[in-house]
Amino acid sequence: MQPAENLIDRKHWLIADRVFSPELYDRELERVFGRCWLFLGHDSMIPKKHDYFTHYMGESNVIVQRDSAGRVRVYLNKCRHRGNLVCPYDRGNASNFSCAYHGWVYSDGRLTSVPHSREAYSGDIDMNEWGLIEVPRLASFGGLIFGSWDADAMPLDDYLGDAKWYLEKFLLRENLGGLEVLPGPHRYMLPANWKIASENLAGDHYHFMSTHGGFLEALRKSGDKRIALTGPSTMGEFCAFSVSLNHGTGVPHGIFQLRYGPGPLETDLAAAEQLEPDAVDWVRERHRLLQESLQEVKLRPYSFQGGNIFPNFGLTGVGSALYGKALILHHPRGANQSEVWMWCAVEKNAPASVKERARFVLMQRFAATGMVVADDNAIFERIAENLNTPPSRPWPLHYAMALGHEATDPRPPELAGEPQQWPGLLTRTYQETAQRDFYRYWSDLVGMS
Amino acid sequence: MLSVTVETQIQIEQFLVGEARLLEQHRLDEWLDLLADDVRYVMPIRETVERAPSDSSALLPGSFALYDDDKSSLALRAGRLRSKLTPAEMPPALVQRLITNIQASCTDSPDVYEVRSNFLVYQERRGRHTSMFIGSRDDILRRVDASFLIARREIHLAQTVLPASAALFF
Repeated sequence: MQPAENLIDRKHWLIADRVFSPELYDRELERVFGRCWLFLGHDSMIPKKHDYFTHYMGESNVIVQRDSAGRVRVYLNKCRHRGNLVCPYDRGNASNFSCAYHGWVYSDGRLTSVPHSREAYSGDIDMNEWGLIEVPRLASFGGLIFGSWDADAMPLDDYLGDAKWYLEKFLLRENLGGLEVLPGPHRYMLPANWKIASENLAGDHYHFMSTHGGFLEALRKSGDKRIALTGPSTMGEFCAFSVSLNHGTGVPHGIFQLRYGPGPLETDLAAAEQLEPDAVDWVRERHRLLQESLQEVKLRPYSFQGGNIFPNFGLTGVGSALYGKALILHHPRGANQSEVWMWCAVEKNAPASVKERARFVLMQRFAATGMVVADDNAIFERIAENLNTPPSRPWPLHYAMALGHEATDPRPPELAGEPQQWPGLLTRTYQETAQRDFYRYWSDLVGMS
Repeated sequence: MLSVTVETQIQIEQFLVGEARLLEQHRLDEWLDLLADDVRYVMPIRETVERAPSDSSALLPGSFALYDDDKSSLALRAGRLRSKLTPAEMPPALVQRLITNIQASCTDSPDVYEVRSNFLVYQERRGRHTSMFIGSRDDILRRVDASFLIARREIHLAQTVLPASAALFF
């Protein structure tokens, strides 16, 4: 093994520590977070006129608000006069934002009042010119709101590409009444580069048994059946795949644990039986509608467990009718620091008992205080500690798992003769195709390919 | 709010200090024994909401709380911490707990007390990853024989963004 000459060796799939270095950080803020479509939230977070929450796009403070006309708008949270935050709250409802420094007032993004404007400016300020800076591109998909700073960004539909099918069929479930996001994201600091966490959700199912051995052992020994194990031994008969979305054609999103077979439904029904008859009916009806919406394909998956929408919008907990669905953002906070936000979404029309179970499971597993996430983060902080230290820096990291096997059908023999009708490149569960796609696209964006 | 006798105050303080010591020493089974079988253990998220009602730190029913546990799920969490297969606890994180501002009051039931305390939990992993969690706790303690059982604990962090993910007990 030779020291890395390139940032990324695309032949052998070796990645240099410099991918996570401070020298490239500003460049990725500009070229990744300044150009991509970034996840901002869900319609249900701001149901009423003037409802808002503050947020980040990359490191930029923004306000996401439903305006006087009921339209979602996103503004830079930065007074045009001296740059102070115009809104220091996490969320609320306000018809205008008043900067605390000199009192400039903005409403629906327009500058509507400048104190003492006659004495101070002699009328020489054009109020129309000095409104809040507005994110130029906004679009939503099934209630998920995305924004981009790039006026020339491709349409969100093209950006999501293959991901739309999976999001629509298995997460958003508008045929069931859609999602409802519970109050409040969990927020915590993670001393690691955002990409380390995002690439994990893009398709790293390989780590699960090793990293989460303690959690798995505790579950096996526990009499508490509310937080079911996921795995072949407990989920009955099914097979699972990873999928590299838009592989070779577009923006690299990845999903893991796409589940096909009768086991996951049987497991959900058994869990619902612990709750109440309404819950069982819900799981059945949910499955019937899923079958209906998948009529176009012969082989119909039950669910996928999680994934990553490039660059930093992660998903997990999507795999079961009784799990809360985590909508996750890994906000960049420097080359070696991220701020993680996680919302819990539940299916809006589900019975109260199902929503309560879903919330409970997500709290136990993936929340800021969850048993799964804690071990991922312990690993990520140790990786970060090791990166970019001379003389370790020249030695690249290995991203070559299943390289050259992309064309192999990962389906078991009994399915191999069937047409492959699911969007994206289907791969086996243990793969690094999704991670390679992630870094290929990332390095093209930062201009370091 | 009726204050408790000096003797009871001292007993409660000793109980909370002893509880913190058990957690510091990873004696998790003994810690679980201090919890009532019907314990409710909750930690709401903290947000800064414009024009929020004054008690904005209260647990909203059905919200995505940081903890909303019962004894069974707390035992499961303890099982993970004990497993020796948990990267975050191998080697075990160093944790020190300061429990202060302990204020106990009587309730309508003679053997039940409301106890408010402040905490600072310091955690270190590998000498470089340090976090401090700080906040207050509203406990309901039941006197049982010479000791107490924790019947309810509501934890209020004074932090909106946690310094790290935190699968530990408060």
